Amino acid sequence: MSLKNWLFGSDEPGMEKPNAPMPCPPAASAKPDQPADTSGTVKKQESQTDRGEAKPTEPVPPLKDNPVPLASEDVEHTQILTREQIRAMSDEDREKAKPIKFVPPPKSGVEKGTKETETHSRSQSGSDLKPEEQSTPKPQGTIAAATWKIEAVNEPWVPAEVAKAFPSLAAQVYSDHEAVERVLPGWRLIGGSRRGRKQAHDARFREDAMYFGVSAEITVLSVADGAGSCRLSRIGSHIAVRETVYHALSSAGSIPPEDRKDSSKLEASLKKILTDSVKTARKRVIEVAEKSGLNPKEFRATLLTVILWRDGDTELLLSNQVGDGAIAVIKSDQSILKFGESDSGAFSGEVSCFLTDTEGDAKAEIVRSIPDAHDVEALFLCSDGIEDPFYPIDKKAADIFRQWHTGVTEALDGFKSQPTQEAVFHEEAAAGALARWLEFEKRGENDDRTILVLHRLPVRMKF
Amino acid sequence: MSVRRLPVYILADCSGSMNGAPIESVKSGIRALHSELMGDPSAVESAYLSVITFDSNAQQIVPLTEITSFNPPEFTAGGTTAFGSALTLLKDCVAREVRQTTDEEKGDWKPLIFIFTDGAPTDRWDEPAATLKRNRPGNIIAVACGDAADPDILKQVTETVLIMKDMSPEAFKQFFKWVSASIKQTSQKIGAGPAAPAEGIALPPPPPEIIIHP
Repeated sequence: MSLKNWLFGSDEPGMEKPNAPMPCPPAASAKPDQPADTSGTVKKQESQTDRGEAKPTEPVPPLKDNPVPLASEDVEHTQILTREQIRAMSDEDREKAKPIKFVPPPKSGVEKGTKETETHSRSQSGSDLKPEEQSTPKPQGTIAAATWKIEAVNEPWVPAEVAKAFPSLAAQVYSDHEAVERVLPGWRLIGGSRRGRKQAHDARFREDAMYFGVSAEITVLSVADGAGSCRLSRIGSHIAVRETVYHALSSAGSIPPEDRKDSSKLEASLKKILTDSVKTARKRVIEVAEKSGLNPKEFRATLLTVILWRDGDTELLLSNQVGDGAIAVIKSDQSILKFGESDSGAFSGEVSCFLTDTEGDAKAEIVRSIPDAHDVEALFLCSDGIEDPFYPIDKKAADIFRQWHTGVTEALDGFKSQPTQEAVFHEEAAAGALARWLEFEKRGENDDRTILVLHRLPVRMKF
Repeated sequence: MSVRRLPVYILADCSGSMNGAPIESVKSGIRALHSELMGDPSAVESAYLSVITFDSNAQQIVPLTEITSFNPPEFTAGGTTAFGSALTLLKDCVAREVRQTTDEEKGDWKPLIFIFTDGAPTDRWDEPAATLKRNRPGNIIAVACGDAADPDILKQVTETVLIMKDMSPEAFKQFFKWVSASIKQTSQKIGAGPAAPAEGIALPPPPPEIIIHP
């Protein structure tokens, strides 16, 4: 199935049929010893229902949402105790004191007024509360500071003007959170994408997207982040990742056999494939906008892509980046390589070039490569929802990889909290573990978070 | 590691012509703005407020302060309109207080600056205005209040100029409500560069009492 079919319809003239790619599967409880499927046959991503032969499938289970801190409207009748006071109470006293509000000891001034207060009420659990009750502000001096809400979006994911021009796009299934996992020979690919707290609070869709595809030799990973200031950036990011992956997969078969045996020719061919894939993605996003009668700027998104080529003893990595976000590699000597250049501006949130901007094609030409990737232990590509809290990524990526290799026992410096967990890379169901890792909390960092990770399986690196 | 802040500067004209209901409305509007922002968790985590007033002189009466620690200030109206001094002070405050992205640290969000004045400047304003317009230290929204303010002067500072003819308490209330909505909407990814020009930040439509100066 070609992307052109899912997006433009199978009868569109002039659309060649590419080689069969394998789009990313849903999250799975992959076992390390599970034999990888390298047959080259097509497998549908379960979260999609388009492309003609689609069969209805279960949607990808959403990642666990961040718990919403609760607050009681009934402040006057609420006994406010510190955690230490609660611990010091007898069980009997605890029963009498209800509802009980846990108030953490005051932290530094910068934490004042944020959503630090947790309320545990025995008479009314959090799940029993309506969203508006969950969002009731807590007392904060004379003015109550707000807490986060999780809101449904009150508009179609694909607006009418786009749906009219591209019915197949309208048939795509949107989910607030996604998790994916796939075991390859010697590697495992895992990924997670979650709607940001700010997006959820503002009743907006997740604007990040991720996608991957695997064929016999080539693995393509793609992450995109729609610009929050652009109305349909979620559609732009959705199309961009899929077009990139499909084009790269379908082009890999065109590499002549003699070039595959020559490392420099192979690298040149793959560079061209990567560049063409990003350019194709750009073209498609613009095409969708224009055929829908809309300005392509409404669809602005970043795009990060990594290609892994595996063929016998050959292991080759290539990357391309348009916009912000980060691609990072860790090698066997634990050195970190920033494997892409972030197009950020002087202030947060500023991006100097999006995929659909005039220099998008020029950015597509900038391809980095690791001709011999045998000493690469793991890599990730992520949106700025992860890059920003871990900025600068070339220094903080080591912390990320270490946590994935050894587990999380305490939050990193500067973070409010991180879920304690075993090592993601040693988990059988790594996608779920990665989803949990994505629940870290850091003040002011509430954007969508999306990451695709490739790591050696079995894990070779020891921290 | 520091928090990425959304700096918000309010430049308020406190010259004699603002005496009475207008200056009270401004103070009340700042209180309402603070209260509104406290109701938004993203603003609670990120927004920092500063108030600069100008009459015969300009002064930063509230330095850039996180909103949970912000105390709405008291001030009075009187004197002339040192608009140029206010613009110079604004430039200095932004340069001193706002962080830009470096190799080591992610910068603050681009500052959001609201300027409102009800009269013509009484000091030298053209050079400071040109400097601000050239350097664009933030997204500047200037509001010409009443009949005496000249929107064309404000146009020398920023492309985004609004006109609020009605200076009633209700009009100020609606204006500050809009300011609050604008702040809540600002911390988003935008284009910023020759290849990705930001076509103005995405602000909500202003209230009916306020019109956009072409």
